Amino acid sequence: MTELLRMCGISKSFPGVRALSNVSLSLNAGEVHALCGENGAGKSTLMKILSGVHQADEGDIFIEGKKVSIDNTKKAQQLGISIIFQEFNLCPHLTVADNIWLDRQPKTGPFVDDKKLIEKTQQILDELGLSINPKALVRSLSVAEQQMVEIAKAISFNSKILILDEPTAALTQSEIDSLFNIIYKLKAKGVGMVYISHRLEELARIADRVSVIRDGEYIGTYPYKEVTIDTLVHLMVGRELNNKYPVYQRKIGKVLFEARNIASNKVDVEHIQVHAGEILGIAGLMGAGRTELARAIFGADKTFHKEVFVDGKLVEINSITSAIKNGIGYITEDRKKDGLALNMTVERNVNMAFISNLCKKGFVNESAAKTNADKYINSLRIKTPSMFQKTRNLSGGNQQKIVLAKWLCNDIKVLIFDEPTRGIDVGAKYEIYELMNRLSDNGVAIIMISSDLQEILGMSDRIAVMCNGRISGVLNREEATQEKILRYATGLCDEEGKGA
Amino acid sequence: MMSSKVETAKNGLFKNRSEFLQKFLAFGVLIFLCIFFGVLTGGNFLQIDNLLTIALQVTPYAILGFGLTFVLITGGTDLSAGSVLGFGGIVCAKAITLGFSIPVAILIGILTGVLAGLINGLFITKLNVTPFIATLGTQYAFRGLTQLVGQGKPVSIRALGDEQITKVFQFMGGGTVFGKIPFPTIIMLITATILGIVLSKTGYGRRLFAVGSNEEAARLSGINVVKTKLTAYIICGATSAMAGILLAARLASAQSNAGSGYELEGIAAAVIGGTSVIGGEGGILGTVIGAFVMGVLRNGLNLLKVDAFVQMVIIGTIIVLGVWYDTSRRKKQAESIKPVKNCESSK
Repeated sequence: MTELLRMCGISKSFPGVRALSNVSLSLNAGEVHALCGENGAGKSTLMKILSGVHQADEGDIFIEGKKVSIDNTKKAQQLGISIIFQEFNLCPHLTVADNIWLDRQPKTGPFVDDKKLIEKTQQILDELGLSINPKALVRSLSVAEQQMVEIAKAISFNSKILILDEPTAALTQSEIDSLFNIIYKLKAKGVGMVYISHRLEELARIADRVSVIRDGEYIGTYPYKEVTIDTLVHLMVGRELNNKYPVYQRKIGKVLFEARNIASNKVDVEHIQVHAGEILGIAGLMGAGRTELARAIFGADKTFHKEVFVDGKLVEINSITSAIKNGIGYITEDRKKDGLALNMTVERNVNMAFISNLCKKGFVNESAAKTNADKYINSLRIKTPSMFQKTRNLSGGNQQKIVLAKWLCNDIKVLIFDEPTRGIDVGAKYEIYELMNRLSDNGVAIIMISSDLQEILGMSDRIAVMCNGRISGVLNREEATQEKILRYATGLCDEEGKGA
Repeated sequence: MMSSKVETAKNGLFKNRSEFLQKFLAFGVLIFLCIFFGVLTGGNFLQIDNLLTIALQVTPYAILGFGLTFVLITGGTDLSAGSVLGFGGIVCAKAITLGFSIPVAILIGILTGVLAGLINGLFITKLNVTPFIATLGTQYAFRGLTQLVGQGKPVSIRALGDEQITKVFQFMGGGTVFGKIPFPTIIMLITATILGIVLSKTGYGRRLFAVGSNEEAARLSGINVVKTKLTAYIICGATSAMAGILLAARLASAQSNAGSGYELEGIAAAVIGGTSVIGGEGGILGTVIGAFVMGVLRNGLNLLKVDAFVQMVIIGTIIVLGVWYDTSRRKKQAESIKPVKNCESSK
């Protein structure tokens, strides 16, 4: 096995922070090398150094035994290093072919040779076994397909080293399977891959070796077969996490939320109900209509028809304002996109859905606003130097707590969590779960949408599985297994008309 | 846990260091320019009379800039502000010549601006036309209406032949109080105070920043985005008309081409003062300072007898440099993400 890459003694400091100190990493041809560590451990910084975004303060990088300096991203590309970020770098308005060969299109004279362009694109797509039309506009593709286009682009550069940063964060189970198929193909071709992921379960399927970094320090490299998930977690956090999900005995009360006949363009749900103190998990593949269901309940999207009962009373929910007034809150799946105003302070974000309650004759009572923010910073243990810190500067877990605080201010009875722990590290996940348990203890009815089956199984009292905008099955905690959920989610079995 | 109270006291007037730096920088530039021109003109620039002239000159730009600050904070823009300025001014003047009393005429003028802002806002919020295009269109339309009201000619108050009305109207536009302070400047400062308080102390102000910072997050937090944006455009229309009325008053005559191109001056003032053109950030004090930076530049260059065309080149360059500096500062700030570990030490 030939060694493609060796990074030795890499150190990097940013003003006031030592991001990496003396970190090493090596990568063989045809190997998938998993890189693990909590958020902020320095994984992304290390990969940014490898891809030329940052330059290391100390340390050497060798590619195929030759010492190189990677001064910029262009240089990294020439050295055969490609990185696929969590956020894609694609032009949505251009075709697949144009994106892959961006600025490198085959030309005759000054004109782009369209025929050859399509041919070359098709060749790469075939090589990867992808059934994507080269002429399709990227914006019309699903997230998974866009990721495939990114990979195809990397292959088009003849990259020997591929960095995948959280590639499965936005994918459903079947999409993950096809991604892994491509990874197997690339392995066979001798491409070395550095694979960053929080989902430790899936690493077992592809990783050959794993390296762990913690707080910018190199902890070690291990053959994947020789470590268990528990040891990995232990190495990452530096302490023992006995349980991924807090053990909790819930006190489930009367029906607090009930909705009938929710119908919109994308959703057709006959019946859904949640008890006080209960967590109803909603599972399903991407595009099954889970988020659309949440948005319909929350009054964010128009519905043709729906009847909603909160605490036994029929209420009309035709806008977000009316949903909030009736005690319904919604924590969106993408907190950066539509959950937080990142350039605003922690205090402003915490109070965002609560402003009208803090106002007297239109004027904000600043001291009440500060007291309120302080209360939630303390009770949710939001780690921030001050409530006037911009939310942008906080970690994912702390940002998620701010979104949660936003709803706790209001007297919330029903809270919808959409992918509550996406992009959050192990330690912070546990905290979010504990907070959910605390809420259920206070009699809040919780609806939790998640693509993480472990999470669904670990947290839910009941599980509603969605497929094609409908609820295809409901499972109790005891009877639910990954296989059963998947059968319902893929439409293999469908208990028609059954409500949750 | 965290001692956020200490932080509050330390920050005082400004919420964070960068906000302070921004204000301080714009203000520093202003002071620097004053000293710079003071020295080069042998002190002429710093004479009280000259400074008061500048204050009078910047008044319409500043008032226009206040409304634009609101609109810019939402992430929008209003290219029709200059036309609304002309429209409001000429409607007010026309109302006086038709025999309405001055207060009523002013009210009619401002209502014209409110209506214009409402139209802009409806196009943008209800019909989802991008602000740039919507207000580019209304820029033409409102200018056309202005010309129609004046039938291509200025509307003169003097033509009415009532000395008293002309005198009162002219005082509003150029009279002085407390010795030499121009009356319109006082109006400008009062407006600045009121709008500054609206922006920083009211629930509306908070909603406005939230909408500008992340519209979808604001909407999902139950904030009425349409109402918030609509109000910003209405405020912009009202301040534009106000500036137009003051300008018409100074000359006792409303020109049908008054205010043409002023929207860009107003935007420049806001941007120099630290308002972000992509929304979510900004303030009235900054816009006042920005308007003065522009006014001081123009006046100082005039005193130095710099060619008018060269002046345009200089002012244009300064606007671009100012915005470039601001954008790069923001970018740097966004990149210097501090990991949580730093924060734990403050526990």
